[in-house]
Amino acid sequence: MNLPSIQVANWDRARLARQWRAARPFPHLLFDPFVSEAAFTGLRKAARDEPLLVQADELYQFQGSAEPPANETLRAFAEELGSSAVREALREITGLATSAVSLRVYRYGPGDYLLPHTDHRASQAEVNGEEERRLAFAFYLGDQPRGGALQLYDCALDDNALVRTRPAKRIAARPNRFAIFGVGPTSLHRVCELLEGERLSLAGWFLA
Amino acid sequence: MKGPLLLEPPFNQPLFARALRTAFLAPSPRSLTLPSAFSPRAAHALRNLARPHRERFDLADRGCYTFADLYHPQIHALSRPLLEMLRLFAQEVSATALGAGAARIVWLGRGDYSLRLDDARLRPPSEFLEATLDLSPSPHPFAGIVYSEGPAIHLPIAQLPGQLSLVWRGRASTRCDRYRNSFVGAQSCILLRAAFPLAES
Repeated sequence: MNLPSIQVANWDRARLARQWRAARPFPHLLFDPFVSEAAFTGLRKAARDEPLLVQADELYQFQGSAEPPANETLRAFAEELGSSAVREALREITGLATSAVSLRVYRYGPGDYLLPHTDHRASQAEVNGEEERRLAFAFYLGDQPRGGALQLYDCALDDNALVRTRPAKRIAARPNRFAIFGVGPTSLHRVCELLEGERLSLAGWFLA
Repeated sequence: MKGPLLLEPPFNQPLFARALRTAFLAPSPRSLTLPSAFSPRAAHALRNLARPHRERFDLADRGCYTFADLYHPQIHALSRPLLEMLRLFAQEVSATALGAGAARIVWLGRGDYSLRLDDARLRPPSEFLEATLDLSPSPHPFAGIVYSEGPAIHLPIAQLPGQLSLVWRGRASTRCDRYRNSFVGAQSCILLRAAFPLAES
């Protein structure tokens, strides 16, 4: 892969910051496309070559790689995504300072899903000594499948518990799309069940 | 269906229940799953009885499913003998004095689920015995109900009409109903769930 693949110097940060603040149901952005066609092709091949394991819990069923992935192209991309240039640009856009990136490869086949959750675990992070997740992202590398959209919820919070949840926005897993959103107690989202095809992505967090 | 809705023989016999005690106490968590406790006709009648009183629960971080409270005044007169029979059976099997607790029928259809967080909000605060009677019209190999206690203990339970499961639930016990995806099919899983807490002495 030819670095840099993320054209961060071309980002219109003021416009993206306005979009971030105006986004509903909670701050998020889409980059369409995110990297050059050549970089996209290289990353897609690397993700398809990455060893994956079936993972299932009450919340999810999918295949996931190790963190960080083994493939050097993917590691280089993670490094670029977590570079000071990208993180500084995202700080200007979102107002959130971050220090590192954590990502894995995910592959959803028919019937796979990720049920609604917020990614927010600030208090748990303090207990476990893990870093706080500030921004969550997904970078789609496969052809657009049927199903598998990222769904964002509009929520009401009362006494640290969600008391109302309503599906508010669906983001299709289009190839070369990068979706990023702020993590907080109401950033409820899910990956809808994949009905047909394959949903291949690099996803993870920008950490505090 | 005429007559009361009751468990099938020999589930009405204390001797039968007592004979199951060793089997119940052996596994961790203490549990027992028994087939043919409830007839298809009785399950059909109970489903129809509860159907007009169904409510939809939809709080995405906890679960999405349909339920009917068995203490609803228009259901309870007919469901009370069954709940009492379940309590007595559970009491004999567990060798523990049990009181009456919450009871509901839950419908889990395509795309439905309930997470441990929902269970945590609904379960009694102290230990109890949970009885689940499967009222589904047809079997399914999908083991959608999963009890857990710590990282090592998992008890999955498949959908089998007429099946009765008894699970002793300590304070650390959790339960979820796994998401029913397109492979599970359109047929609902219908469960009567009753919580029997320790009887107050």
